[in-house]
Amino acid sequence: MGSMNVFDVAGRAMSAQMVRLNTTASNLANARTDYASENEAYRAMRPVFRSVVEDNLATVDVERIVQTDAAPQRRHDPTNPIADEQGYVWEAAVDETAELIDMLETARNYQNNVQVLQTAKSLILETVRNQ
Amino acid sequence: MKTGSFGATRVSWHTLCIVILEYANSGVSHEQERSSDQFLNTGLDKMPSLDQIFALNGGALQLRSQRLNMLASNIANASTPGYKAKDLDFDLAMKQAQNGGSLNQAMSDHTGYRVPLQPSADGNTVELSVEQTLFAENAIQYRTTLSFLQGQVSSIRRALKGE
Repeated sequence: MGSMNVFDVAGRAMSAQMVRLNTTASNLANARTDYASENEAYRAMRPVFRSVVEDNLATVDVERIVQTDAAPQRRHDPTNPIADEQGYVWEAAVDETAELIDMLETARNYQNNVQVLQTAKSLILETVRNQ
Repeated sequence: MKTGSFGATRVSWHTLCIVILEYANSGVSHEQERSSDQFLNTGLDKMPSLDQIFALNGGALQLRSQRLNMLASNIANASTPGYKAKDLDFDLAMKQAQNGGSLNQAMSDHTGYRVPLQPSADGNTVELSVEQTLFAENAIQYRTTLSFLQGQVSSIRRALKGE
């Protein structure tokens, strides 16, 4: 047995999924916000997952968080106080539908890891309690 | 008068004790000789060690626990791009371990990558429905092996207590 056990595997996977949920929350919070220029417009964030292998075990870590290269949409809105001379503003580059689907997948993965943790815990306790 | 009678009874009690002890000693030595002879004749000295008794179920439990770890790793990496799901072929590993192979060798010999039912675009071969089913199945098999092992332990304990 190495230094990592099944609790590390599921626990670290849960933290990684939590990071993913946080980026989704940030993306959804910033969806439909307007910006005066294309450069300062918000772009959706995504975590990059990488598996960490040790002996027979493999857990997952967040390697880094990247900004997607989706282009912000230009919208004509002359009444907006931050619009430029031609009356254009830039919308945050967030695909809300994709974010919601990603959120569901994150929640499912998180639940699965909780289930793994509970099963492993009860099996180990049953083994230790051996009458 | 009182003390004299008391002394007399003490003496007689002592003699009785010594007689009983001698009788008992001779009996015990006689019994011991006979039982050790019997022991040799029936070959009871070749009783298997506890390690041998628990080898089957203990080994199975270790393999089950390793498989649990592998399936947990697969579930943890369900959304890691490029991750290849691994699994242990329990039956083959158990067969090899029973034929005198070491448990670790059997484990590494029969660990392989899973072939996905439907490959995904990001190269990940974890299919949650498959992993979850196998995880639940393996947990039940672990419990079954554990209860066999507990049964063995309790019958040995009963034999030791002489119940």
